[in-house]
Amino acid sequence: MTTPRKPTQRTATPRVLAATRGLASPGAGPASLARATPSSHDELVALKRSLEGISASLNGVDPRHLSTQERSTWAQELDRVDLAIARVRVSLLEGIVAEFEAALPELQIATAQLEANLASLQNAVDVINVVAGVLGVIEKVIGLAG
Amino acid sequence: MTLVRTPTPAVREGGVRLLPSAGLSPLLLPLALCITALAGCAGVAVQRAKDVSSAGIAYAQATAAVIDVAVDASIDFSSNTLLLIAPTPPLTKQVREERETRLKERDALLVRSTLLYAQLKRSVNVTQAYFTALQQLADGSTAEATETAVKSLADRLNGVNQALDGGEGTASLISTKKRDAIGGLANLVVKQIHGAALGKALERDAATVGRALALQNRVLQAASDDIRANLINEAERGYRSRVLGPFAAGTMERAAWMADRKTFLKIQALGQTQQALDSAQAAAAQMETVWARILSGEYAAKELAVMLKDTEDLLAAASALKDVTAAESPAKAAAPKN
Repeated sequence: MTTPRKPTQRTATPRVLAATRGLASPGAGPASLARATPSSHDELVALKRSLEGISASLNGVDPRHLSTQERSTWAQELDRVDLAIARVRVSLLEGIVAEFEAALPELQIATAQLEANLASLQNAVDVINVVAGVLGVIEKVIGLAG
Repeated sequence: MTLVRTPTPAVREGGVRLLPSAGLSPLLLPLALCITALAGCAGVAVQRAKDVSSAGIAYAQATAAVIDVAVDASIDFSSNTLLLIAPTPPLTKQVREERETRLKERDALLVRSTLLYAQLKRSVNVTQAYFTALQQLADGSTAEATETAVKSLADRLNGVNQALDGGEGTASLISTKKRDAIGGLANLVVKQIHGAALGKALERDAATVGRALALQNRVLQAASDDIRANLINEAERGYRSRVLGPFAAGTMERAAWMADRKTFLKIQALGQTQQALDSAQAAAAQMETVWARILSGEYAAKELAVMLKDTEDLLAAASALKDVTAAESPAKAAAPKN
């Protein structure tokens, strides 16, 4: 028999822990979030999906069938999960943004090289046309001289 | 020195102009044969670059569209939760203050994630700019223009020669047939240069573009997760409160209940949307592999078309979600809180 793996039970990196701080201490602000490193990206994705799963389960509960106390607990849990999802999302996106930003200069250089390649192809034609034009002028000069 | 003998007219075959051997000097014949063979390879490189650039542009556009939907979905997800757990008034001053603080905290996070999504969209646009430049280069062959320019150059040389020899009766330095042959050869050379430039660019940029596509895959994954989460919650809440609840209580209002039922059954059908999202994610991951294999010549444009079909499904799913949300809004506004 196999036991389903629970993402939240794995040893989380400090950045993942920082992102989920809302579950333990709702007062933690967005400024305390650290950026996701490539190694923590998959963990954050798994954590967010896990939280979204919890949210879906809590949503499946009909609050009209709950006692006042149960409803209060249910609402509190949904609230905390919602906050945690928002925190993990920010951390996750910050990680991707940081990596993408780092990759952009190289991509922009590659784009510029393609544009330069296109320009150089056009330049060759321009040079030939200029030479032909100069020869045309020479032809006329010779004609006038003769 | 005469380098080119009188050629027979050049012929076109498969879009590549071929120079018949009968019209070339022994010196030029091997060169022309090599260039003709290489021009065939160049044609493959050009077509590959065209295919890849079209796919890359479509992929970037699809990702950008999914980002737009994800921004709305992430905010809606939170809003729906807050509406669901809202306490019944009247509320004490302390509770009201606590609620204000909680809302501001969430709003700050949502503003941040919206900004991050916007930043990612700009990055995706940079990727699209690369593929646009690749497409322009692929479409930017100057072979025909070079042929025309070279022929014009030959005509000018003849003109100067005739002027120097003193009249129009002087024989041309380069005959019309020779001129056409040289022009045709120039055409082939430029085609080869063009194909080589594209091949070199694809090889040179392989790692950079592969990395950008991998990151784009992560963006797509994050965005589609947000869409999916909102979709699941919307379906659950909406069906329970607007279809199941009124039916159980026997309080259905005919037109509204029918409309709501239709809406949320459609959302259930969008369980297929979830599959489409998963499929698109798989396709996005696959694109890295497809990219590497295209560059190695292992994959053809057909593979790209299959992959893009999945991305189109993702866009269709995103569009369907927008429609459902729009259809639901009037009903929500009129509905009593759950």
